[in-house]
Amino acid sequence: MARTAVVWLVIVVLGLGAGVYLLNTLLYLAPPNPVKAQWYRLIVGLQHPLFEQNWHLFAPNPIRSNFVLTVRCRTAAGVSPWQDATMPLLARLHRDRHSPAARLLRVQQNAIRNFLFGDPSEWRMLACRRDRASAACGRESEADRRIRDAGAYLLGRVASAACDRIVGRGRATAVQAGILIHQPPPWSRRHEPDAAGTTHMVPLPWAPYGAGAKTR
Amino acid sequence: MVLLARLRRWLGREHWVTGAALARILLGAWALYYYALHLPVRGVLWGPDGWWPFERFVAARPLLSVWAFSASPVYADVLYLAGIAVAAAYTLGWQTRIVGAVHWLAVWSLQERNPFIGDGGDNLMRIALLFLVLVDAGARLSLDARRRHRARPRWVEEVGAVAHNVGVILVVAQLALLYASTGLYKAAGELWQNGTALYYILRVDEFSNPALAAAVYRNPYLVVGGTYGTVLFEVAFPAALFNPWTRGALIATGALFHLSIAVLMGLVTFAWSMLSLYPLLVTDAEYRRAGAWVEGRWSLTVLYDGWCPDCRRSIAVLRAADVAGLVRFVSFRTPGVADVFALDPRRLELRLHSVRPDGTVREGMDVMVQIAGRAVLLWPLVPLLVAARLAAGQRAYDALAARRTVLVPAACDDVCALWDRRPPAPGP
Repeated sequence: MARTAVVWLVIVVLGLGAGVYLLNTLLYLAPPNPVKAQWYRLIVGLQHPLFEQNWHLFAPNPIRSNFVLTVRCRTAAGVSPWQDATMPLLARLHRDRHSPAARLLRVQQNAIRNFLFGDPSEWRMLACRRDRASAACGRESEADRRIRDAGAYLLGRVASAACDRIVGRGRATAVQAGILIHQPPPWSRRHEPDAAGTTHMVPLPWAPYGAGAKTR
Repeated sequence: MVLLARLRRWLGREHWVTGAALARILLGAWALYYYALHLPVRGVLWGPDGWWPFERFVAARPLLSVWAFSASPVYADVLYLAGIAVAAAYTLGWQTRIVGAVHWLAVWSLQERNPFIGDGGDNLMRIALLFLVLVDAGARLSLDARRRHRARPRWVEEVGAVAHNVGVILVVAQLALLYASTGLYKAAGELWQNGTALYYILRVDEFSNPALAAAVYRNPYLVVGGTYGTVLFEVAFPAALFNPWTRGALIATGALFHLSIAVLMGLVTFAWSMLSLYPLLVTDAEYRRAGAWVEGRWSLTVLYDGWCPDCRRSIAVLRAADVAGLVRFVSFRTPGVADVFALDPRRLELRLHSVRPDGTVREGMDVMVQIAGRAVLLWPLVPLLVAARLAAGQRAYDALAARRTVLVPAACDDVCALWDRRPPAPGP
């Protein structure tokens, strides 16, 4: 009898746990809605960090720009010309899909996306759509600032590593990263080459070489 | 009450056992591939002086990352190597539940160490690995399954089975929520609605294969079909799970979808981690039926010389290589065997013979090719054997077979007769 009780206890506990998890995940993944607004802190609190998830890279709209990291280095002799730090990794990746370049490039590209977009909160977009002047609309959230800072820091590190290649290890005193944002031509001009798209540049401020971390 | 009793009976028996084993192997192999691929760049990606250095990592106050204990580069290397050992043990299914928990911790810790490296596949994997700790993923195709099992009390088995079933349901439901969520969001996106999303994705260098992308993105039928097909597949996923036919279509579509992503977009590890969970969509009964079909078509009976010690040793090796157990090895010296298959014992002495379920008989080198084709571990030898068969016919085989030693048990009254066989006379 006691054993039957144990089996039922396990069934009830695991069943309830699974039910709560799935219901919570459903709400967590759902767009902003009244129930989610009511229980937001609980929903996110249960989900983070163990079950944090994000399936938004290609939804609602896919990434449609090329982000190219360019780098220049300041040495005692002067400032080097801008150099592309994305193409070499991309070329390696396109030559060989089974290459660590995939993840090296991913780190660089995720750093760029973090720096440019921060934490694109649906709630804030919602608030802005309703009332552009609302306090919630313009303000940068704490999470937003953290993510942008981390992105900028990482870009400094990647730029420092690039300067090791460009001017020699340890010779740069400061590095500057710039992000080229390239939009390929739209569908109506699909036969045109990439160069037919539009490009603009977002420069980052000069950062100290090595950006505070130990260099090898 | 009847319903409750049925629920307990259903939950108390493990379902999806084969699928769980396959998912474990695929996820474990994924980790081995990932560790091996990044061995040369581990310092940059996860090292204490890497792009995301130790101080930054610790300052972000990670929950439960074993990488946070020490900033020593030696410690980082030891962790990395330990991760490889754990992934290998998990793939082989050794102490699966415990090693599975350690493997989850290793993968989780590695992802926490560098939060910029991940994609959706990594995200799903770390959640699935945690649920798989509940699952009996080592019951088949594992080292655990080869060892003798201690008999456990029925109620302990029952509790384990409940955990197993709930774990599998959680993984599949998580997968369904993923597809439904991203699919519904896509359905609200302008580019997914007007059918051109695939075009814009394939024009982004990070997500395209330059050798193939242009041919696809310039073709309006492929672009619109791929764009709408993606949304339809993702939104339909949860509902389609409940019917065996639609579930089959789902598996086929999903495999095509993710393999296209691997080829066209170049996202190899993403496709691999997503598809690793697909074996869980097939029930044990379906695996059994598929196995029976394969056996009915591909099983093979091989007649060998049980009086020849070298032959017995070779057969033992072949039997071990035949992981799927498709080949049945029978000594033709066993009384009656030659009669059952209606074969001439004198010909059986000259060469190995094989009989397929439909009665087709092959001999010599052809049998070697047949066995190698069925034994997964011998697949690399198949081209070699085929080439040898085409080039030299049965000659090399006959030369080897003729030199074998035969030990006759019937003559073992006092002394065993042992003699070398002369080259055999040609058959009738």
